[in-house]
Amino acid sequence: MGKINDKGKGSSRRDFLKSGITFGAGAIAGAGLVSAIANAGGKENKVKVLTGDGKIAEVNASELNMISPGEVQEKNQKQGRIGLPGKKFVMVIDLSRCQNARKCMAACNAAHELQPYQHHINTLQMQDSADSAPYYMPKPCFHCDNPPCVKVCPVDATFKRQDGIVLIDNERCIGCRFCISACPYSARMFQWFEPEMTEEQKNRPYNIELNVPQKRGTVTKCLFSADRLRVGKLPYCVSSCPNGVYYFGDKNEDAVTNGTTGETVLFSELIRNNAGYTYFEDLGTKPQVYYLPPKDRRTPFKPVEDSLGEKI
Amino acid sequence: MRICGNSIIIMLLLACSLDVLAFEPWNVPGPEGGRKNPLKADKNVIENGRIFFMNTCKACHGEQGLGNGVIKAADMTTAKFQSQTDGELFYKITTGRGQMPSFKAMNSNDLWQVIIFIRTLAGGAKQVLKKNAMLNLIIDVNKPEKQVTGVVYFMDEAGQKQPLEKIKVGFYVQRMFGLLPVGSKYTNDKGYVRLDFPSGIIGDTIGNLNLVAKLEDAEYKSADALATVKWGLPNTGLKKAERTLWATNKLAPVWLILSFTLTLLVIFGVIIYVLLQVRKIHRLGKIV
Repeated sequence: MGKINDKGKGSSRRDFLKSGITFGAGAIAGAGLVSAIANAGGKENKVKVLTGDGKIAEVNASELNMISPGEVQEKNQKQGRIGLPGKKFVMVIDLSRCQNARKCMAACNAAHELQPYQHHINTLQMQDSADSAPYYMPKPCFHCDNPPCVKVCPVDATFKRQDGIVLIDNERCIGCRFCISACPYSARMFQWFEPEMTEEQKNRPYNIELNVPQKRGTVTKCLFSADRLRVGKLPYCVSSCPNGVYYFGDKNEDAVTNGTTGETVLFSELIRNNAGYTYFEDLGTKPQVYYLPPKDRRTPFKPVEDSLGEKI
Repeated sequence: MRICGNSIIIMLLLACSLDVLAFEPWNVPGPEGGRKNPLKADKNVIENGRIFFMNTCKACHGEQGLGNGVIKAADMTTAKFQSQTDGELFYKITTGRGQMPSFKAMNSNDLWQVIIFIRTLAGGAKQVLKKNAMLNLIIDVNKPEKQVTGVVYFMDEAGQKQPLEKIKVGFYVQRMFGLLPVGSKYTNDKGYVRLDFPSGIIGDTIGNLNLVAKLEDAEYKSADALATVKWGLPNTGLKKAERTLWATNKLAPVWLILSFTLTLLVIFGVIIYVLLQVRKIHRLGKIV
């Protein structure tokens, strides 16, 4: 932020503005989030823009480089394919803490504009056998290191980035659903119907790291909130959990942070001390979402009942 | 119309009964309410209770126990709430009602500790005027031992540094989403605190770590001190993208590119060869 007042350094300032205005102008052109106010008083016309981190900055109107939604989308597509250099994201889900609050699902559905019946993350009621104790299991995409879904894509629409996140480019996806069949975890879903949105919402530049706007006839799935990670924030589900179920972090740093308590712990120690495991590891998919067993539950298991009092 | 009127009355009755249910006094059986807290309040118990509260209760009851978390919950700061005995609170925590889950499965020692912490919330968040204190870090980079020393002091009226004793200093390492604790110690009578930095913490590509020290005391304002030290293991995860079967076209495995190209060449080669032969036959026919 300091560079904007530094009038001596033209080039660096321009660089800063470029990155800031990309977002600001994108918002003007796209959803109309920002109103550009021309200041008639000064020598040069000043324009207020919203920077990428949500601050308002003033720039000369002549230096303002309006970026079309198409250019914003192109930038999104390019950076979305590369990912965050040097990172390797990992999630740990503590099953002993999940009480089926479903706040993660609500936050996820809101961010990715999904219908209530669609899930990028779903909390399942599990019972392995008649005598074993039931538990709740939130199930996102496991962002496998050996992803079967990516291997079968015939059009290079789904890919694995260097930071470990498996994404889908809905602009490329042809809706063949090979990936849905290939995924052993049923993490992917198909947009059968036209998503409900206004014409204006539909014309927003497509964000590959958010899968928004959703497109009919394409596949969508959990993205580890790649757009949030880019700005150094925890994923939507992780930060909205009220029960401290989720840990998220960079495996290269060997640290994961709890989204509820903000407590940071060593990833390897957490997994070792609590017998962490991955789901269906015998398939060789190398999932990057780890589970801690539902041992020493914080609160007793309460089954969900439907309106008729039947267990679901 | 009559049916409609009836249903409205029924709905009103239902609404009333629900309200009554919500405000029905929560009676605790006599012997349960009379249980005594086996623990006595001290700095350690309150700190443990606070950690438990932040992990388990904060989400609903709010950071200051005002009942303003993600769902509406009991306000723990009111005189009415605080008038309950420890035994009554213990019973309610272990039994649960409505939105309040039962914490029967938890360690009872933790629950008694959190009850002691809840007592400190009485009267709401008090505006405590904290005193100023300074925290400085001394690191000798030339020494082979990974040792960090913190000095905690305050400036007296004469402008002299006065050391502070028994002040907790927490040491952390900066990670992408938070601070990883590496140890905490209390200052000695000279205001010094010394920590042997643990080995095996991963830093950046050359092993640099951002060390954060925090003054954590109820009486003094929190103060941070930062330092960058080369005590970490180099981050070896920063590899270049490898050639894999699930990578994009550019990073496809060499064997795949080779076999695919070879297959294409063979197939088209055969087709071209056949076409050439057909042309040859055609020409031969013309000559005859």
